[in-house]
Amino acid sequence: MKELLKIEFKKSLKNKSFYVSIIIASVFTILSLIFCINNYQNDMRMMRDLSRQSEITHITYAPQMQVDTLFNHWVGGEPVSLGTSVYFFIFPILCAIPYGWSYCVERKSGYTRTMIVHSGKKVYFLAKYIVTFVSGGLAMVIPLVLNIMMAAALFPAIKPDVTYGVHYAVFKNSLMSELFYTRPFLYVFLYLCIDFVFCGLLACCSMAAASFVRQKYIVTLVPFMICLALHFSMKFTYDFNNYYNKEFSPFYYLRPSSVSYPTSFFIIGMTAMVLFVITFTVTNVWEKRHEIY
Amino acid sequence: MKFIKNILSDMHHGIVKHYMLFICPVVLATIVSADCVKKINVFLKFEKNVPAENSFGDIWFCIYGGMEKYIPTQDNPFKFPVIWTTLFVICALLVLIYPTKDMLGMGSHVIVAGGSRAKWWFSKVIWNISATVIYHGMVSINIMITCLVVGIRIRPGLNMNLQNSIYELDNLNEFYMKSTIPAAIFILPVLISVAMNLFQMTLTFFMNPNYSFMISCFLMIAAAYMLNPVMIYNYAMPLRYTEIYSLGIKYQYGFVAALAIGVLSVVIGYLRFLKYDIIKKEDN
Repeated sequence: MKELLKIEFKKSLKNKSFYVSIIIASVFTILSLIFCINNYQNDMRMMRDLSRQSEITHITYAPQMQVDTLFNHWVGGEPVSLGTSVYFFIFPILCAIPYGWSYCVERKSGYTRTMIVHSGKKVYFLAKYIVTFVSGGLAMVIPLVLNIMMAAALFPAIKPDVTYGVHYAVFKNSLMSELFYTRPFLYVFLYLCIDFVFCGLLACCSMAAASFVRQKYIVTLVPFMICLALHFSMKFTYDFNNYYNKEFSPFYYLRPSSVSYPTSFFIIGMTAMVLFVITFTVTNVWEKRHEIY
Repeated sequence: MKFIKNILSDMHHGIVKHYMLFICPVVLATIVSADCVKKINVFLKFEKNVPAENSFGDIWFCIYGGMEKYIPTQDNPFKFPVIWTTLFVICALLVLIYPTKDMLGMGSHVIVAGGSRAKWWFSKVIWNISATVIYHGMVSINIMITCLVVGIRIRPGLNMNLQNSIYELDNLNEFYMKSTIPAAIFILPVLISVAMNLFQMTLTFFMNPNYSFMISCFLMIAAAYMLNPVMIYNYAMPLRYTEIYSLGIKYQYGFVAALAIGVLSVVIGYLRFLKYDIIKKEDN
């Protein structure tokens, strides 16, 4: 198992697709950063002009003010730029590109048979599942971490103040909002964990789809189709009051900032659980019982 | 092999054999139309003091309308237009894989039997255009059936008060009420979709189909984000035409843009395909 995991990790993390995925994602996160820098400079300019024009000298830009901070200028903290909008729209494809297709290709080429003879079905499928999961998660989280690091070099990491709440897209009913205003780094870390797990599971959907579809390109797009279907279904979901008020679109609830409806742990957890049960059953139970020749 | 045989083969393998995929627009249009009818009924029930006419044009706008101009401010997060995006994304998905798949295996034999790469490519172009038109045609037919079933008049009208209750527009005053919308407005989104699908097909000769699809998605989201004539998908959003929105873009330019993109994509794709290494592709 250890040996196979080592080989699979090497294959997944040292392939061109993984780097391409990270680069594309980073381009969009940088696009968001440029937008934030422009906004930040405009704010500073405005404050400076205001203090010059008026007699009121206390209107000067104070860097300790909780209006422009790291937590509303990194890609996950701002919900308005084009970069963040595109990034959180195409992420299901980006997390399947690194390794989601590998099982499909290996099955077609006959590599799966060789590996199963060498290490056994159980070990092969489990190792493949783990590696696909990790590569999907990393493809999502690495660009976010890079963005936080770049943003941290430019914006002050001041603890957000609830009185400046209008400048943050985290409201009273948002997920972990209390944590955001008390321990913002922990909030960011927990959101990165949620994103890692969810995108890992989305990448595993590609692997599971390979059991039914033989086209590598279709398999890679399966996570995107799942997210789009969930997003689309939300538009037509009503509760007894004719209005459903919880977010269940992965395009929105994987963002640390609130976009539409409040996010809930229950919906994220349930979706992740369903994805895990389906993908694990298909890849590690159903597929294991099938003839490989 | 005659050119017509190439086309018939593509129609058979790319459309008839995959008829299940063309159920997507039917399902999509049925769900959205039903929801729109529900909203129209609510509108008629509660809005007593505003004009209450509604027609085919209103339901068509629910699906193809797109979104009003987005103004990025901290208290206004960007929400992409769900129905519009789903409609165009699914259309782009339907025509994404077949040409790549057909180039390998059986398709390479067709190229040899045809005796010309040009025949293969132009057959794919005709298939792409047909598939896109059929897709949008099915959506429109579905809307018409819904209108007939629920007794809504099949007329190209537009009630902006009704659209406001559906889209929750920020600046209703900047939109015009239309008793009749020009037929060209109903055609333009389909033409833009055809042009962009041809562009996507040409891109698959330069990169992995997944990346070309990602570029299509990016162009859609970028167009929804920016009201700019350069962002070509803006011409597929009737809510942004000057005919309907005072600060919008002239839809007439959309025809020129669609034609230019379509022709350029076909020519570039043809030139690229003449020198394209199919054997190397098959090895991958």
